[in-house]
Amino acid sequence: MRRLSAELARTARDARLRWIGAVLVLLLTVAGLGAWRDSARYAGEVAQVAAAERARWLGQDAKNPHSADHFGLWVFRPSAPLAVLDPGTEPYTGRMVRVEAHVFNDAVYRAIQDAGPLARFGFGSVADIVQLVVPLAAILLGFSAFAADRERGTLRLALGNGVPPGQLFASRFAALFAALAVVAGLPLFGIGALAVMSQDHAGWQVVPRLLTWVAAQLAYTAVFLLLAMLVSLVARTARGALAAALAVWALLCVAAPRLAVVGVDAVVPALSYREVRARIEAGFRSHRTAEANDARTRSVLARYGVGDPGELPVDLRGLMMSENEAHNFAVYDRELGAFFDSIATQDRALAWAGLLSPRVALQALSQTLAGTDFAQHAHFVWTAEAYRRGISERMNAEIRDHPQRGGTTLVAGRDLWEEIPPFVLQPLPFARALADAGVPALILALWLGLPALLCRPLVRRLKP
Amino acid sequence: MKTVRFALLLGAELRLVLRERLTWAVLAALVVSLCLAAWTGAGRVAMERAALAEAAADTDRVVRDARAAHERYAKPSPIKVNYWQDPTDAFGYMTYFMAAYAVKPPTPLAVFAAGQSDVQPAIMRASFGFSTVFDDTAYEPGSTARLRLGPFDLAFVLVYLVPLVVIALAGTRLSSEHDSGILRMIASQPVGPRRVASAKFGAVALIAIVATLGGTALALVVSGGLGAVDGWEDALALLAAALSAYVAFWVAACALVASLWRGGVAALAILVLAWACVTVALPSTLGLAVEALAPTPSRIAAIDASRRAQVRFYTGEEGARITSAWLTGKVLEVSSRPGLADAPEIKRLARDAFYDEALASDRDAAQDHARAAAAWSRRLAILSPATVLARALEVAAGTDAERHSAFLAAGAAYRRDLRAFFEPRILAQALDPAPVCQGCPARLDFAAYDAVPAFVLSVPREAAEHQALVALGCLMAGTLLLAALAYRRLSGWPA
Repeated sequence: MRRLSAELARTARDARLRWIGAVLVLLLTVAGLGAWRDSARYAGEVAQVAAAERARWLGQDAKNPHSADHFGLWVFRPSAPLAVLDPGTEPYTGRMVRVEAHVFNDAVYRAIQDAGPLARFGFGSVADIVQLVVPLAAILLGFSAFAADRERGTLRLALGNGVPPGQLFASRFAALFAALAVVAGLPLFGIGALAVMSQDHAGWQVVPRLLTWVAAQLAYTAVFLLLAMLVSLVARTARGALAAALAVWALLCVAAPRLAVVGVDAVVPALSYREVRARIEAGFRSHRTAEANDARTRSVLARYGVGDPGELPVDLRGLMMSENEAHNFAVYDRELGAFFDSIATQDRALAWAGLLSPRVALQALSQTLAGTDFAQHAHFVWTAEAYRRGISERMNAEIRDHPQRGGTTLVAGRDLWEEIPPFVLQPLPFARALADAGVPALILALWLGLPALLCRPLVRRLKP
Repeated sequence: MKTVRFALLLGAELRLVLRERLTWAVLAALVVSLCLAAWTGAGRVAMERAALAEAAADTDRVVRDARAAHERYAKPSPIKVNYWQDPTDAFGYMTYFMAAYAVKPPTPLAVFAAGQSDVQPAIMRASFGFSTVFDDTAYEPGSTARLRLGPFDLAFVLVYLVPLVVIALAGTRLSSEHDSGILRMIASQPVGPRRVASAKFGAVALIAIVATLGGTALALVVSGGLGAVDGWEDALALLAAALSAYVAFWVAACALVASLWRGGVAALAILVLAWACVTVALPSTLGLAVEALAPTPSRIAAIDASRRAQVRFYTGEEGARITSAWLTGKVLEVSSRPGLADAPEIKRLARDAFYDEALASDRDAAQDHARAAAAWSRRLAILSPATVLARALEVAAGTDAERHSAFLAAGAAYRRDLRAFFEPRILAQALDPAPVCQGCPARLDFAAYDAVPAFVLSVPREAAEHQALVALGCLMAGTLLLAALAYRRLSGWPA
């Protein structure tokens, strides 16, 4: 304990810590507050327009239910509370869906479309800073842990005084890690707490999410601190230790993540969205021709054993629309289901690609814990689609069940519009996030365990 | 005498650097990275070309199918053909069948940079419906991890990794000699620090420039990603010169840091932090500045405006009034044609024209923002060597934001051209339906499929040359400044 106190005091006196801490706190605070401001603005806009859309839906004129289906509405994806810390896939995926008859519209308008080209160069978010800069801070603090003392000859003195090498290593690691936890962990926790307290977070289970998220970032920080100290244990000079640690950082944080993506793309390619949409279009094309429509009409009449649509107990148009939609739903389910599955498969493969770089593992883990991963986006897309189908089915059923005679058109009003509930998106539960986070968490643990294991024999054989 | 001695020094330094294993390891890693990046770039360009070919094939297929339908429906048949099932009708064809694409073809140098191509698709199908609130609705979701981390393309290797290679080769030159005490021995020779530094950093600059340009050329040849460069030779030469200047800039930065005489540890730390500032922090700051200078108009507010317009059209008799007013402006004898305003195609044309007008200010705001953001990005990019080079590579590749902004505007204009082509035909059919044979199920009023306007392609070569020239000028100025500072500081050996 005394040794730890001494190391803590030594670390606290280090000018590097003050500089690194000041830069980190500044970067994290600026990025975090900027994200929080944007998030609050977006949440306000979404709440306002969602209420307006609901009022427009309920307040529309009396009309044929199919026209109401075409009138439709827009639904919006609320941002996850912890997107302030890690926006994950949110800037790269659409946040708004136009819900209307017949069409499974894309979720459109990605934040990245509106960001200028320079925005993609660097620190887009708090998570980017953690993934890129915090390891650099850990290296700049940790590279000299033993190498500098060895170079100066003070390591010989420390070992000569009978300090067990293991205790020396553990206390130095603990002191440096505590320093990093203060300059990186506390701002992260503070920004997260601010986001959680200032926004609606029903269903998000934000407290365990925030705690595990911060813990994951600290584990990642510890990986690089251990790597820097590992290099410091073997390097003869501080310069050699720094050069090697920086090379490791450049490889693991800069080059390897992009290489990992290239590898995953090559090994587990996702389906091309353009081709998927083309297949959907082809699936509809043959179904919607006049000839196909005529054949289906005759089939319906035969099914009911009548020769004229007027003799049917149901409205032919409503029934046909209902059956057409069922066909379209099946095509969408098959093709877009396969597409989303392929993206999910690629995401899982990318989590394993974390073996190439802890940054890749952390990115997968971090966005899953923050609730900003692709699974949440897919959940939004399919929830919006289920909502759209609910409206279409209800409107078509209304037409089908009220056959009109003599060329009249069915007109429905507010009573029917009120049967459609407001769109509500319940986030995927935290338990699902924990299940999805298993692989990246395991890989990050491996990254933490590997340098720790390698350090053990080196610490035992530590030479001045 | 002096020149000969410098040449000797340079030769000796070249031999020294080339004898180091680290040099070959670093250069091998660089060449492998360049080849891999060129390979991924070639794959991306091949996919873009395939997508353009698919779009062209889709257009042809639609025309073929429409012609076949024309032939089929020109004979009596008991089936009923609704307007949304009828490609022989101008309105039906325009709204439900036509596959007209606005496309942004890759430039011959597209392999260099993915740029904005991964978030801004190069193909937009012209559509006429209410969902088109903005011009940039084209969307091709894919791996978000790739978007977050960025592509492993030549621009990434050249802008981010090449400086790290230079730092690995030159970062501790002079500083390591200072640390090890060899500098005292060198200082005792009849040669000044400027000459020694010039030889040391000149040797590294020569090796790094040759390796970077040679490696890039090799990667381009091996990957086969370079298109036919006829007419693009100047742009390519300017890019090569800008790239050389970028390498020289980082070598000059290493020389300047060495001239501080703070030792190897400090030199490495300063250079890596400088790299982080120049390639990551400064561009991020510039990005924030662009956001402040060209604030993004709210998409949600525009959607809200579009819905208000929709509600207005569909509430009470407003739709009928708007349609009549639109029709009055198009057809003089409208009052003598009762029921014309109730035709679905007329209501649709009037409605779309009304929406276009109602949303014009939102569309203009979005276009103004895209233009302003691109313009500010262009201006501010010159403040960082990394962004100015990246921009030159993106413009040469045709994947920059400014070209995309122009492409979106051209796409919107194309949509208007298509509408202008079809509108008189639709109105003519509504006023005076084309005669069809007895019992023929379709309208048969449109067969001019080949006359439908095609999108005019644009490949901006001059912009590529201009931006490469700007990058070259900026990087040379930066290099000269750093070199001059280092030269000034290296007036004497450290005490």
